[in-house]
Amino acid sequence: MDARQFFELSIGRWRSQRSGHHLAFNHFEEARSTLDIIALAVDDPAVVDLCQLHGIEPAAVSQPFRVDWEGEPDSKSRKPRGSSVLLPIPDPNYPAQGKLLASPTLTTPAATVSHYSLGDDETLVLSTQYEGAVVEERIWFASPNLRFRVSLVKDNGSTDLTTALFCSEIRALGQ
Amino acid sequence: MASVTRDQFQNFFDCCVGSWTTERTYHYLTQRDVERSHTEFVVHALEPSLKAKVLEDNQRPLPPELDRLPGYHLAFETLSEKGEAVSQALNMLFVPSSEAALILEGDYLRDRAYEESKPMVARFRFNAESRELLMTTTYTKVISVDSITLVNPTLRIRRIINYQRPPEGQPLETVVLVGFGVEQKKI
Repeated sequence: MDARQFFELSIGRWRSQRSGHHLAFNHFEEARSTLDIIALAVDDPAVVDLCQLHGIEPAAVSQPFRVDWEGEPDSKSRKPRGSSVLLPIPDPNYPAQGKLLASPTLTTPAATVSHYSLGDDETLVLSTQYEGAVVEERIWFASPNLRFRVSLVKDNGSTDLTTALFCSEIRALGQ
Repeated sequence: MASVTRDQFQNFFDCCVGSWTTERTYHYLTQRDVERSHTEFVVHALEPSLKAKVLEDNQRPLPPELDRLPGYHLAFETLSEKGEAVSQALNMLFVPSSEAALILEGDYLRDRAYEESKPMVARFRFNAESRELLMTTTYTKVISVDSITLVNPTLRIRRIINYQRPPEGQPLETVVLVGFGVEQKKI
């Protein structure tokens, strides 16, 4: 599988179950959500806008997509939801790696640039530098309809972990 | 033979020696349910005579470099959120057989395995770059792929994926259990 095929395989509706370990606060959380990962055309206005924001040509984008997510609320909260457009920009010299541009969201008000790399074991490693923190995410398919994600959040310049998240995601078939 | 990869391998285990706590979650994929558990475990290095016993239990010959092979005793106690308690103690030994580009592979021997209480030879793969130890055990009904990544000397991330054992030569496809844990050393 190459990186483009990895992103293509991610297209669809996924039922996600997340376990979060917040080490800094000694807190554990569980959450369920539905992810809709939708393929976009390179001339989609959202893709063109995000390309302009980053000063890149839409032709450089491989398999743009949008992620819409909606969490299952607990008894006290409203249903959390969000959406982000993501643009993979493969490195012309090393197609297994590249940049992943993401549009701003409610929780991440600034557009972000992640670096991705697809290893020989077909695990996609995403690294994102935020102000004050670095997030490393590993995503892999156990089968075409089962995906796992591990996210580790570290303070900038430190090996100390503040948060570790694990998600199991099952493709919702027949919808 | 000494190498950067073997030094990293030994350093990985040096960090693992001590007392640890684990918060683990198991995802039951078909039920969309999560079960939590808490584990306390202790790791200490084995004396050569006990390393030899692990080899003997698994009907393996004594290698000349036995003293330098990583061998450890593990004792753990787990309490699930449903109140089920499990405890076990076992001895393990890692016998490298091949090395290439920061990857060390070999056999992982235990005098008692987790799923089946008998001596067991599994395979391991250590990545010196990511400091991940991957252990693959073929049980009668399942194949367990157990990953430990040493994030820093006092924190490990654990991933356990159990697959239904496929017919010989067929790929792993059906996941029956997924576990994820954060393991912190007691200082």
